[in-house]
Amino acid sequence: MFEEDLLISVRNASKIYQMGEVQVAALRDCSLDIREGELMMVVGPSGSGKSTLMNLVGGMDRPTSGEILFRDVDGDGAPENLTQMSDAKLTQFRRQQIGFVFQLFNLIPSLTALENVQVAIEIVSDPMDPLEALRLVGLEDRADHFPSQLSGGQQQRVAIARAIASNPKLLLCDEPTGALDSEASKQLFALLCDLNQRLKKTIIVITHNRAVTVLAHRVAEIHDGRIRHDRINEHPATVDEMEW
Amino acid sequence: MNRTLLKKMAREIWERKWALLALVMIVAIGAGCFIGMRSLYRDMNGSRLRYNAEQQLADFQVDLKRAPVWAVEELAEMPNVSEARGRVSMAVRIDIPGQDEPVAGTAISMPADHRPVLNDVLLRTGAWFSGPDAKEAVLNSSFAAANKLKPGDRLRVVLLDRQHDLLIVGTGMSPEYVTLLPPSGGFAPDPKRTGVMYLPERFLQQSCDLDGAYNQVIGRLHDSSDAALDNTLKDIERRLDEYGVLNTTAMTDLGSVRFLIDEMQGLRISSTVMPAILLAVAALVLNVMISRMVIQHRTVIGTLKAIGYSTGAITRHYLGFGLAVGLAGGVAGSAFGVWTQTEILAIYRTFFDLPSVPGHFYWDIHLLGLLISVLFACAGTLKAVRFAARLNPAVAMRPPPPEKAGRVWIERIGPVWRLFPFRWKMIMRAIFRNPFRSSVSVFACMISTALIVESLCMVDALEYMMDYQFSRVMHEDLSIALRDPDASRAMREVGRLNGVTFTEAQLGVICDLSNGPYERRTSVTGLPRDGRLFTPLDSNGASIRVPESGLVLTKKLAELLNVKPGDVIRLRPLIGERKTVSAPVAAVVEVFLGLGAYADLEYLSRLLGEYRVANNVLCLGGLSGEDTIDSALLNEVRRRPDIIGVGARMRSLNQMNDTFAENQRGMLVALIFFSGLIAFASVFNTALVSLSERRREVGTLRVLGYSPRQIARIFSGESLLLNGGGILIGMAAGAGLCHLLALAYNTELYRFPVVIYPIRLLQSAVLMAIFIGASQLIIFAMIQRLQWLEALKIRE
Repeated sequence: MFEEDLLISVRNASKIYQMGEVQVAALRDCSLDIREGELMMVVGPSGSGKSTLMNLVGGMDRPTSGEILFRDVDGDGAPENLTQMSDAKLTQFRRQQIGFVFQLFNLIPSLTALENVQVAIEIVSDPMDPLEALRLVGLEDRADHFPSQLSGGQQQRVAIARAIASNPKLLLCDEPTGALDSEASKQLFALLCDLNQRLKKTIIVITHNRAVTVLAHRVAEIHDGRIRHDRINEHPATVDEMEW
Repeated sequence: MNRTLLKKMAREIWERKWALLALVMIVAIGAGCFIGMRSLYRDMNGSRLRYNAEQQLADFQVDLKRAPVWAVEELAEMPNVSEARGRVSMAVRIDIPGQDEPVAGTAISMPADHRPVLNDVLLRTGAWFSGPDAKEAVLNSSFAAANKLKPGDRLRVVLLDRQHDLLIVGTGMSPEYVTLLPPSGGFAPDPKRTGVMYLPERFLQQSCDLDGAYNQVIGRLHDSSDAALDNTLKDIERRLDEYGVLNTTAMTDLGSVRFLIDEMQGLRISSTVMPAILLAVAALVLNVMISRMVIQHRTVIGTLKAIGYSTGAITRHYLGFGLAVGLAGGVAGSAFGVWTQTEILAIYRTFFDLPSVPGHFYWDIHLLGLLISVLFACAGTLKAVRFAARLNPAVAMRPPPPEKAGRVWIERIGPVWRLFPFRWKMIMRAIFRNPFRSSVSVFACMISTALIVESLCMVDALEYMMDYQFSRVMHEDLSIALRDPDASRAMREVGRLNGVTFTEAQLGVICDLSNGPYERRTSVTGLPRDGRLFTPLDSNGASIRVPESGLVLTKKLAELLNVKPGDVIRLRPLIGERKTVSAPVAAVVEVFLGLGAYADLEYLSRLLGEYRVANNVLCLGGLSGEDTIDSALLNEVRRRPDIIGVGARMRSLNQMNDTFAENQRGMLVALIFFSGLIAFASVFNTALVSLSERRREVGTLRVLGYSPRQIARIFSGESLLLNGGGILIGMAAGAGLCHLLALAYNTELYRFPVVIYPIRLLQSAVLMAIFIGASQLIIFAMIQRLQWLEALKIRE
């Protein structure tokens, strides 16, 4: 069963890491559906398994058990099982379908802002113009700056430009404001909401900050590797309404 | 690789430009040595073979007393002989107008019509003889040039006992004299004092009482392999026995031909060994450097993989660094190769007489050099590339696992460990926690030191060898060569020459020596009992007394004959009565030149059927300067046709010193420069990597109040320990290398002694300390400039 508007479905996924002689279960039997156009937030304390979940959904890692289905909207619409993909197919999947935003931005220090965007679009077939992507995040005038010449907020916006420039179906943001001050964080969330509304991007934001969950269409709470709540927010607030 | 990744790579290369430049230079020198020496080999060997083919170099040469023309012609009917030519080859004394000293030389007969023959002469200037009886000569062109002789000049030549006034009509060259080695042997050509001339056949036959006869046969074989050559020469010798065979020689064993062949072999070996060492060092240092870079790039690699870069793309990207170093090194190596080729070719042109050595640009060799550079450099990055390729993106996003920080083995020896001050504990841990990197440092340092030790010791070996031969074995002022073994009359007369105060006889006879299946034809020198002017030494440097009967063999000859002192060998002189006798081997001595044997003068004379004869007289006195022969003496010599040559010992020594000093100095400077570069590049790079790994540690120490100088001491301590170890091992390796080279140069022409003076080891260590110190200074400057507060914030 794969409903019409489903983009990703995580079904009974577990992830167990072997740390020396002990086994650590980072995720236990998680199930989660993500619908197209949704702004979804996954909240939980550190060590709860948020990043592991993101790695699985983003095709960076495979679950120990369970499956992750993804609907290729531009393809035949039939769901594909990430857990059965080869490394090469997974790479292809990340390249075309996913945009990543990391807590520490992960920009390449030796490339300018524009080039950091270009590095992502050079390997995809139908990308956005890189300057347009920078314009969308409000940084077209910083195109020639190196990461070391940008503030943290600006660096993260470059990272978002990089993530959206390849026209992915899903934007995965792992603690995107973790390294930012409150003002920069607010601006960043405003940007993400804007992208969600204007470009209809499906966005998953992983955060430990409960305050921002008011912005989401859906909020999943994760604890000790299990999803405890998965609730729909009928009336998402705007950034201005949010209490930081 | 796409444009953006190329830009990334270009900028990251630029950030490391100095460290990479040092590596590129090592690769360039390695590739350059390869390209230059290989090109040179092809140039030289190609010209040599072409020259030999065009001028029809013979395969063998037979010296005999006198063989009728028909006997020589019949040789061509022997199964393996394809062609034979008789000729007259005569030792001559040449008096050059305006030059005091006569030159010992060889006159060789050539057909008057200049039809193509074996060992043909390629005419360079002037013309061929005007007729079969013309008193005309074509001179060897190098000999002519060295003595400023040209067609139209005249010179006086003593043939047998008559003096002839000859007109020089032309100059030419022949592959049998591709090097003009002095007839007395030696390590260096001496065109000024090695006269070779070609005379019309009939004229030379008549002047040498050889009407209708020859005293030398040269020929070519269908099968010229060693075994076939040996057998055929034996057959020829049996066949011509009645004509008094004096010697049979394979052309390739002729000193003048052999010299070039040996040099070519040496060149081939050097063109592989030197580049291999340099490129291996570059690959190892590159490995250390790129491995570090990839670890620093952990998150970047993870991010690139996360946004969809394939493992292949990442592999290509990081392999690109090796590719860049290899390409840059290879291209620079091409230029350096051309330079090497040109420079060595210039030296070779003064050593070897080849009609034309093109000095071509060989595309295939340059491409191969480039390919080898790239392969070595890429091999150097493989370990790092594999790490990058295998890195899982999800893992790469997490902070790296804490560094291995267990105890290093030396810490387990508690009492020893406690003795170390804190600084040395840090140093020891840094060294033992990175065993691979530490080994690379030690290895590179070892190679550099060994190369320096070896180059310095080679100079000493050469000097030692010359000193040994010219000061400790030979003591005469002059040596005067007589045409034929002569009894005491000639001796007495030589003793009366102007200025001569003391004389001593010497007799050189070519003999066949055999011990069962082992046989060798060589010159045996007869020495007077209690002789003072020529004293062969044993390997401990003590004078050897020549026994009343029996032989003293040189070490190499004893090895070739498989005999030791006390054994008995068969001996047969090729002149005189030519009887085979048994001779005991009385002793074996170390001699660096040639394959000789010594015997008592009277013993050897008796073997020839004489009482006491000599064909060489060693003299004291007769000089009018350190190495100038008295002109009155020379005038007297000129009137005596039985004297074919006069040589001054000091003159030969000085000449050799001049020839070698120049080439040696150049080689020495180049080798020390290469070694220094290796040392500098490896020390600098590993220190840089160590510094980058420990930026946080440096930052912490700075916070704690350490000054840059104190921190630099930690780094220099690490360097001191590693490189000091490398230098020590390098000294031993250098000594080992000297032994290896002595083995490699153990040829029949000459041997190299192993000479290692402690001062050379010390000098090598000091030179290395300078190179290492220079790189440490740069590291110190970097520590001073390090943004240590920033370093503390970096998450790796």
